[in-house]
Amino acid sequence: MLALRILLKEEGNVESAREAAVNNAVRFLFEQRFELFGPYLWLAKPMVRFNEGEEGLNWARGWPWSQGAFHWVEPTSYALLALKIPRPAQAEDIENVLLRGDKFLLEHSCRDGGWNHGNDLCLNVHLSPFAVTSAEALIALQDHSKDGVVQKAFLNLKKTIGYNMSAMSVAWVALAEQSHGKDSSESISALLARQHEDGSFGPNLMVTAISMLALQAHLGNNALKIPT
Amino acid sequence: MDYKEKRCPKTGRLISREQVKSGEGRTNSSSGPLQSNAGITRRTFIAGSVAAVTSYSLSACGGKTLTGKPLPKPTAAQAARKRKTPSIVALVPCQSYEDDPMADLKKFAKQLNLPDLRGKTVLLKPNMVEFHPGRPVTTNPFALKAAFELVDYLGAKNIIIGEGPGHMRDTEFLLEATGLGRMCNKLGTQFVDLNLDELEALDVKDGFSGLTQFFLPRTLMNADFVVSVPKMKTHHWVGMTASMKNFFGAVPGRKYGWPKNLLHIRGIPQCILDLQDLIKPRLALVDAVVAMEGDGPIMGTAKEMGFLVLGDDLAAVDATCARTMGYDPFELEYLRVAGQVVGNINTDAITVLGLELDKVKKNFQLPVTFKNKKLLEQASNQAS
Repeated sequence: MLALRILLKEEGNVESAREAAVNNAVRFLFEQRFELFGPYLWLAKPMVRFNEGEEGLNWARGWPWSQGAFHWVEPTSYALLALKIPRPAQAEDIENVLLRGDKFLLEHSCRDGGWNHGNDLCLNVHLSPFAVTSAEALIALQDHSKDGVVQKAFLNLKKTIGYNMSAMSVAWVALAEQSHGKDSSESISALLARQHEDGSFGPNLMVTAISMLALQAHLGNNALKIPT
Repeated sequence: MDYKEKRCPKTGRLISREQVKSGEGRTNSSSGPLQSNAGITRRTFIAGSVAAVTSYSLSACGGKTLTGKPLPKPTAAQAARKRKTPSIVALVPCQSYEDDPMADLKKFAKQLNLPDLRGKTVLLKPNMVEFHPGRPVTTNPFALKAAFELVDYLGAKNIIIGEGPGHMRDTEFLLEATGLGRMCNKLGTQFVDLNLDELEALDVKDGFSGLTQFFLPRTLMNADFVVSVPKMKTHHWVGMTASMKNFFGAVPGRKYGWPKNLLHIRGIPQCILDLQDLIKPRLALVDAVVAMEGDGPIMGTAKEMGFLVLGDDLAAVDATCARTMGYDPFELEYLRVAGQVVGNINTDAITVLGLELDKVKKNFQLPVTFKNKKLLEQASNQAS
């Protein structure tokens, strides 16, 4: 889905058949969000409105990895990016959806900055951030550069990655830096140092693809950049 | 005063509301323990009362909890899977990771009557769930080496090391940081990332989780003989983790995500038991040289125990591990039911070889959830 959206952004317009596929994928993403109380929405919605006002309906929520599961940082980040690059025109409540997704990420950052997988707190223990999840959330929140949560995450990102210099982590961090207009030359140098002799990065093709995105972004073409 | 709210990320249900000073940014506010009744207003109370009527919709996350419903009494079909013969478990002395336990392992392998593995493909499944410097979260590389040498001694033709880290999907980093990657290279064996492997759909028959199908890695399912090589740890959801719970790391992230949240929602005990039936692991070698106590399986602290645990009945192995940690296995739900559908957990049916259990037993510091059970309920709503 994210790849389709990037393609759409890169090509400017798409053939109608492909556009239909993209629209179907957007619809699918929308349907993956779990609405309040399932079949009892008709009852719950006015109750929440009565209790907390209109604003109460806009609680933060994102996307799950799979149907029936809770919402997590990574699928929410990917879904947000897929919807922001570029924003689909046909979805009526797109702004609300993006707002809630952004809010979900902003409200689930770790105490010290950055993101774990979902919660910042589990069974009374504050969780520590990971480089990959933090970078992914930062890329999805590139239109919130001035938010304190984003700034704190960047401050902690170097610390988070201090002991994690895998190609995957460094590539995501470089993309996060580039998406927020920050200098990524240090991360790119670290990434290049991880390149294998055959030109690949990391243990699988996915890592090579992410590394390619980071390198291309460093050369001025950031496919994950949300258009302003 | 303003309020900081915590909502269930799935349903949006209000979990807690705590007061913060006006103008205080959320990043500066403390995320302390949840206060489920803090800040209740009259309107909240009225709405909450009405809400209680709609029992399904307004229960946390649609009535599901992360620990699942209590396990029912096993059916005849489930009980029929249980091992029929007594079990032998060996507590193999290994004071440090510098020791070479092979002489003892060979001796106990004979006493356990472990099978001839000539011509077989064996998959070793270590625990590499997550990495935190200084915490014994993952299987030590030397325990993995011991397992490798044991199955090599038993004649295995092809030995694969496979793991699908449950929390972190940066496998390259985990292999480096834990030292398990270097050990795989040293042993000259292939590491397979089970999170990204080809998938096989398996029907669940007479299961506990309610799932009708499980998608599992092809490499794992194609192996002739699967060995669990976990770290012995406390576990804040289910008490302790060793050889059976280790197979959560065999469930592919590419299908279920990171973490593998669906397994928690369907019930950890339920999924542990279903995975035992589907994967049918044949042997366990547990790393209890340095175990984890306290807030395991990730944030706990090291506990030196000085042994490995070997056995071909994973229920008996885990029950024995639990006893060395000071647990009564019958008080841990998944172990109790494993004793009815997997293997033996009763001491009468387990012969312990090697070190004497009573002499190596240490009372572990328990996870905070076993001191304050309300935390589990709160965490179910938090989607932790």
